[in-house]
Amino acid sequence: MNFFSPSRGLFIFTPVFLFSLAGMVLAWRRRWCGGLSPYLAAIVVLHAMVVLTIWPGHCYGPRYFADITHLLMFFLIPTILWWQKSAAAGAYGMGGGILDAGWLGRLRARARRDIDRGQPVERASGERGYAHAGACGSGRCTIPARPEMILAIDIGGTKFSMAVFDGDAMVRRESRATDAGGGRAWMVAQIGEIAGAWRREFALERCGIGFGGPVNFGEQRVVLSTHVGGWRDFDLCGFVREAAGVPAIMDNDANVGAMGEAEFGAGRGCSPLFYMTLSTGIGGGIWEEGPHLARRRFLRRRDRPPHHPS
Amino acid sequence: MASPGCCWHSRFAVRPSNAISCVVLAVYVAIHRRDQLLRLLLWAAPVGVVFFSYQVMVRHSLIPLYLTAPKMRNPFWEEC
Repeated sequence: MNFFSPSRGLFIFTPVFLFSLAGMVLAWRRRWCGGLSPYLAAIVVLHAMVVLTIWPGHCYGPRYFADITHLLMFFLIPTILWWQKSAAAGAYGMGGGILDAGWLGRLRARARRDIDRGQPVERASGERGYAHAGACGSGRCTIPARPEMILAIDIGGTKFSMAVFDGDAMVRRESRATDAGGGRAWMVAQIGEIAGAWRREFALERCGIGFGGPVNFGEQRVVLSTHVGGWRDFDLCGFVREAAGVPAIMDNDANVGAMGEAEFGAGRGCSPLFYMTLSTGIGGGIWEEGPHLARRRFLRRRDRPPHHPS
Repeated sequence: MASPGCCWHSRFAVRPSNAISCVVLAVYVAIHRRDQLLRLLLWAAPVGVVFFSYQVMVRHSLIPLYLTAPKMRNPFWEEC
């Protein structure tokens, strides 16, 4: 009655909020705004359930939904973003966006998971798959859309950082200055010490590593570090796997930075996305999301200059 | 906010359904941002004190009496 009543139905007076329903599904599936969007959607649903029990009064209009109008407008955003993206791709449009939020979306999500579980792809164009099988674990090492407990390691020329993520929330972080004189041995000892302690404290499932230097992605080995000696052809993933007890995957820090900004940061919803890091070295990555999302986990890197101390 | 002492619909300051947002967002903070929970509660405390004080002193009830409003009739014509 509160939704389609001729006198006070929400979708009768403001039918545009039908797209908010699709937006809620899109936001939920894509973890838009991190882990917050499911809670905001829950507020809308609970509110709608509660107002069903309240006498709506004699006046016209969906006045009981005035309390959550801001949330309904908020959930229009993912729908509009999807519409823009689909219109740019020329493949879907709003109708496709709504379908994607429904059962077709589930089918496509399943297909995407199958792709993620497949073999790694490194095409001639430079596209790389993060569903990598090979030297980083027991047979198959995949990075699903949202692992539960993740160890993240960022190794730079002047400092290195480690963090533990529980879903989208960072629950622990530690940064230490790099002892260039200590070389690789000092660094891996530090990583091993921290990872060993966190391994006992957290139920880690996977590890992602951003390394500040060239990385042989296919072999999952460090090529070299232009800042700290001793890293040449080092199996860092293997070391972390032993130290933290979890499968690890590694790429150049500019690449993973671009991926992180595209997935979680300022570049969310933007494709293609160009990311540039100005740190001890200068690097960049380009993130490109395909129109059908089948290749959204592939990263394209172009013109990545070698690191130069700034 | 309606002025007190007029109609039945003046016996509340906000709809009780607004508590859903407060509870759900507090649950989110408690689960995902536990380190910020104390800060949230401290910031919410002054608002809560003012709200509940107003409710008790002016409305003579700790929570809004929205759900106890008479139904199936027009209280505006009957009580005002």
